[in-house]
Amino acid sequence: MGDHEARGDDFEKKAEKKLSGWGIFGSKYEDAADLFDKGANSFKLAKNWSRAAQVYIKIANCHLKGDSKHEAASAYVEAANCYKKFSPQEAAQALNQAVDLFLEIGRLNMAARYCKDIGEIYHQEQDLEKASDYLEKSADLFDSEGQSSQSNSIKQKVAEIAAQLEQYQKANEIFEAIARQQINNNLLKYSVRGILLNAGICQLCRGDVVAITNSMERYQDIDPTFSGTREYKLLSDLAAAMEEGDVAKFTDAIKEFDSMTRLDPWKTTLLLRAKNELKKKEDDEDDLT
Amino acid sequence: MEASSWDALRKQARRLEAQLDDQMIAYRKLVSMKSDGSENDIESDIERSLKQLQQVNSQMQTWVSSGGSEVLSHTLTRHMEILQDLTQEFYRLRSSLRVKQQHASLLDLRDFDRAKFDVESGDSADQALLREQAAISRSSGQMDNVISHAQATLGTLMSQRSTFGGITTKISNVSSRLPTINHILASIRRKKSMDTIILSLVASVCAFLILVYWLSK
Repeated sequence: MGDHEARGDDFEKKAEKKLSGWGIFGSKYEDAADLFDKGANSFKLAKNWSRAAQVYIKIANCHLKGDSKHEAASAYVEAANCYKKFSPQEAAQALNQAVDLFLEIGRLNMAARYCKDIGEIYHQEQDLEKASDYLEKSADLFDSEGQSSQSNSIKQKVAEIAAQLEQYQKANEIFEAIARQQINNNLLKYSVRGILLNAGICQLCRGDVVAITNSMERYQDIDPTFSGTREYKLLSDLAAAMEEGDVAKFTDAIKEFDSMTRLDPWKTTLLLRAKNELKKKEDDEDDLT
Repeated sequence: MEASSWDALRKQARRLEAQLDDQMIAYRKLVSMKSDGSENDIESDIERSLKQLQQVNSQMQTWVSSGGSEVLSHTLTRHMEILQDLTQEFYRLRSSLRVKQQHASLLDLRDFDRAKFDVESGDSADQALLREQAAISRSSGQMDNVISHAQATLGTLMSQRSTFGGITTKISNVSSRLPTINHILASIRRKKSMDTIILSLVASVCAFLILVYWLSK
């Protein structure tokens, strides 16, 4: 432990000396980066993550001065791996630098992957706005590289986050777009009804009965078999309950569905919001009468 | 003053960590049992303790940045890890509690118990119809089980698909080694030019010495 730390210190001092020297033959940045790399490795062995991360940032700066963008980006990724152990915010910042560099050198695939990592870090830290932004960016980059399956799974996450942030129209549009795309794939079309259920729940949260009816007609256009599923029955029952302003009917429909297929936390949250809105409306009507 | 300041901060951090452990145990117990409405108080306490611990860590960070040794830096990193773990644990427990509360609130579980009681007290004809409906629901559930097995198979196929995608990613990672090869070629080119310079210098020095010898003869 102490040995590794001392060795890391040694390498770091040598690298700093190399940087401040002349370096007529060869590149001093390159040599310094090599020494820094050995130092960072020693710090990792000593489990001193903060020192290791700082040294990796220095490596990235060396490579940037030496005009090696790919190596700099890789160094930022390594720094982010160290930062993840104790400071997710700084890990996200380091990955952001790596993403910028990968975009500059045209490696969209790797930029998309690390962009997704940033989104997941922010999601874990419960910063939904930033998570949504980075995941959207990642989905766009995957689309640019023609990887639609990766893009779709990330877009579903984006849509779920948008619904949690009460951006129901955006979430609904994303879910519908994914469903329309997956219905053409023989392997993926069986999960379309789940996606359409999610889209329908977003419409219920908006509270517009006409929009719900139009949406359900659109869903049947997307997937002709949807009208025979339990998901469709649930949505139509909930829409009818919403139109009549009947909270008990709303609750009964959900109870029936939940007794066979337990609702996941996301659906539970959104349906609870819709029910609370309906209850509020019902109370208002009672006050009027 | 500095030494006592560091020791005081360290002691405070340890006290807060112990306090958070106790609060987290109480909170975990609360989450696993039925809630009696006191979870808000415990949540506020935990949030306040986490904030205090964050501040203490910031002060320790400031202390280390202004000339602390490696041992202190290592200790600080350990404290930051502990704070991170406690925060994630708290988020997880709070999410779990929220999910339970929302599910119960969505389904009106207390009313559900009363409705069940009403069903049992119905007359025999209604009871027969309800029993038939329950049987139909169970059949439908079993069909959905079969469908979910098929969907699980689909999920497996999709994960195979992502495995092949991963292979593609690995191949593109191999192609990303090419910049490294370019890097090696650049190093070779630079060393070659360095050798050329050295050779030129040696030749120049020899020519100069020959000239000097010829003039002095």
